[in-house]
Amino acid sequence: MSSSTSSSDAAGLTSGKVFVAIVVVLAVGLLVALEYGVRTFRSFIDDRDANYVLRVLTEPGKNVIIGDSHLIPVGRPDGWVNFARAGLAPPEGARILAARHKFVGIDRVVIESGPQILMDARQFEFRALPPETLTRQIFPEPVMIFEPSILDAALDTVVREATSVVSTAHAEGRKKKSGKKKKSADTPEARRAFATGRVLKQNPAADYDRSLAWHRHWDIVEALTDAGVQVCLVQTPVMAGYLKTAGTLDGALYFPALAALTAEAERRNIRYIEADELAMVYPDKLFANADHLNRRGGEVFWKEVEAACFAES
Amino acid sequence: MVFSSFEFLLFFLPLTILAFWLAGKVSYRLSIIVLIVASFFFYGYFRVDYILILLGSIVGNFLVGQYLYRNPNRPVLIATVGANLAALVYYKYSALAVWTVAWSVGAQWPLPEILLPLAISFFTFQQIAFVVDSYHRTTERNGFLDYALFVSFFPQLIAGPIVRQQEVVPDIRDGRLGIKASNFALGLSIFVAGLAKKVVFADQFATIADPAFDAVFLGQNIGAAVAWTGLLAYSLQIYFDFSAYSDMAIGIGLVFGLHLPLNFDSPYKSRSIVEFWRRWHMTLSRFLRDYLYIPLGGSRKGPKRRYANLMITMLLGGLWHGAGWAFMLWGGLHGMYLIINHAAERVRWERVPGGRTAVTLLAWPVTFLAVILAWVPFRAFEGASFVDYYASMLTPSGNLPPATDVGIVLIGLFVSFFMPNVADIFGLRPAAAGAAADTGRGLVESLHWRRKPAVAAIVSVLLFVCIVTVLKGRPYEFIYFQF
Repeated sequence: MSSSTSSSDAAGLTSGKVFVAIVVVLAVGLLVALEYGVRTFRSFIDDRDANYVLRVLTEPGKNVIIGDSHLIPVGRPDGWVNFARAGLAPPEGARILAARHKFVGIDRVVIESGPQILMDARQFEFRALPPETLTRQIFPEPVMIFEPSILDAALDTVVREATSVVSTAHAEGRKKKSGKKKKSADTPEARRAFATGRVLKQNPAADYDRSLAWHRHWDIVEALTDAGVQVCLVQTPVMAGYLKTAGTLDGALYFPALAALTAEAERRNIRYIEADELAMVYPDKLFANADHLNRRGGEVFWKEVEAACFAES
Repeated sequence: MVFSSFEFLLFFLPLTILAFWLAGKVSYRLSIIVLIVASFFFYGYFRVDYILILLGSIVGNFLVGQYLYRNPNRPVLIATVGANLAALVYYKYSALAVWTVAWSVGAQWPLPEILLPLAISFFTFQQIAFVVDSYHRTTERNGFLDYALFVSFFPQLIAGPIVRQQEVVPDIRDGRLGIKASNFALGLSIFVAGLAKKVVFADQFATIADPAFDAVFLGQNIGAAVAWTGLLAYSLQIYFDFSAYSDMAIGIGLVFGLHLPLNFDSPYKSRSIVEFWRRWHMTLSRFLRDYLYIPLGGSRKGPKRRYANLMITMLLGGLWHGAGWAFMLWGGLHGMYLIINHAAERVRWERVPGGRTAVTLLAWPVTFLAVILAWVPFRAFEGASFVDYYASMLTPSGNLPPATDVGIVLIGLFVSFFMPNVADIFGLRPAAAGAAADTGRGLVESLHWRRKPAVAAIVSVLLFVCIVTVLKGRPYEFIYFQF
């Protein structure tokens, strides 16, 4: 034993325990340093997905708005944080709300709950968010390096800053891009065709009340209400033409799905605000298109929703 | 849960090691039970209900193996092997059989939707070997726990190496498993080397190979340069991917004190197809040789019968890889290569002017070319798109691959052809075969793993880079998981 030890020493070899300790301690140390670096410099990260996830995990505020692009025009009203995001599917929304409640806390939440949330394109675990978003957050505190989008964007930012020339060119490109506006034909026929297209695209899945989106939606509503959160579900307004098409088109499930959603909310004793229940009739000028309000429409809508949802409390 | 996943690296593996170590403090049997439970959890993580199939297979084969050891009964042996193969055929080949019959009678029948239990090909082969060895009494009787761990041991459960009972059960039974610092240091280093091979190299080659094969599948003719680059990238991807898995399995095995056999030995350095199969998926080659080729008669019944046996073995070996005729084509190509190889060995090249020199010079490039040409149907098995891929490889075109792709492929080829492999670097080669290292002794010596602080620091940084790569993206699944 002693001869083997002395020959190991002579060859500069270390014991197995020391070798393993160096590997483990150094690797863990590097990971901790990386986490610290990402936390410290997170305000420098310039990436849509990463910034969104960072907001969910850290932005102060216990009153939350969540949904897809229909709730983006609401903006960021005082006292509320708005996590609406284009294409956000109910399973993703549920994950965001669960993480938000765990890490920041939620007092009140307004959740988009119109029939469109049950369309085929919303029946996915990852639709608008990068894969594995928030699913790795198993500790009581959020861990930034467990988020693929944040880690990827942070490392990209480091590389970009190291080559700052590229960064400048990128920013100019973004400005130019944001200056472009889409034009659309504004004839009655074009509007009708567009509305028909939207109704078809947003038609609830055939088995909407047994679908993934349905279950995830109601699961998170139940979890939040059980935790004492004030939950309010809202149907976002659509143009009159959209409603007309949804009521007459063969196979359109907008109204059956709406009835199912309101019935389920009633059964669970959850406040559900239907668009036609609101005081105001929404004229076309408050819409950006058949089913999206414009900024002015968003402001008007929010005032009514906030009052209707939480008037008694 | 794959080895290169967040869940495995940061939770499952460390927690299993910790639980195994703590259980070992209480009793050796408890540590074995912990390892079995962890292995079933690992398997059930993919799909929980298939745990029952694995458990049923283990219990059934164990009981029959015990019986056959006491009463060598040929009908029982045949029935047991048949039952194992029937399960494999049902889960893996039902759809192929229905499709083939429907195609042959010109009908369009719905294909049965049977989800293939993960790793069924691996654990079925392992247990067929066990019952055959029990019948021949070339194995010893074991306790159930030892046997259950031999089959389910998570490092080798999903994609091999295909281990024989005699190789691991004595170690388990005789109390040689356990956390020993020297084994842990070596095993951890091998695991990290395999992980780096997977997430840094193999996935990189996939990003070059996939677009080329996908484009051909969608009907494009991508031209010779892109097609050859794509094929070389796939050849490197499958080698780095599968050998990485084997390295990781061997490394984790060592961490727990279990020595798993070598599965790859720089196959692209081979100078003949016979040699290739001694270096590629070595444990499968060994299984096919011992439990199929030799029982068929091997080389004992003359050259013609030998060639027929080789072809049957390789066709079935191809089918083992996947339920599709393209995999049989791949096996058939290798069967044909082996027949040509054996026939060429009978030629007295020294009597042919320049013959010996030509063989010496051409052996390696011809072998490599033959191997990569056979990878085409293996990769492009859907819709017989391998025919179109071969056509692209023969179509001159101005469509050139990006220079970075070519550079990455060239680096991969250099590593595969000229660098020492994991067996060389970590001294895994059996002592008798030590002299067989292909690479210059000086290079092997200088890259040889040593238990030094600087080496530990390098392993640690490599582990960190791999974990960060895993955390910031979703690594490709291992290719051999589908088999």
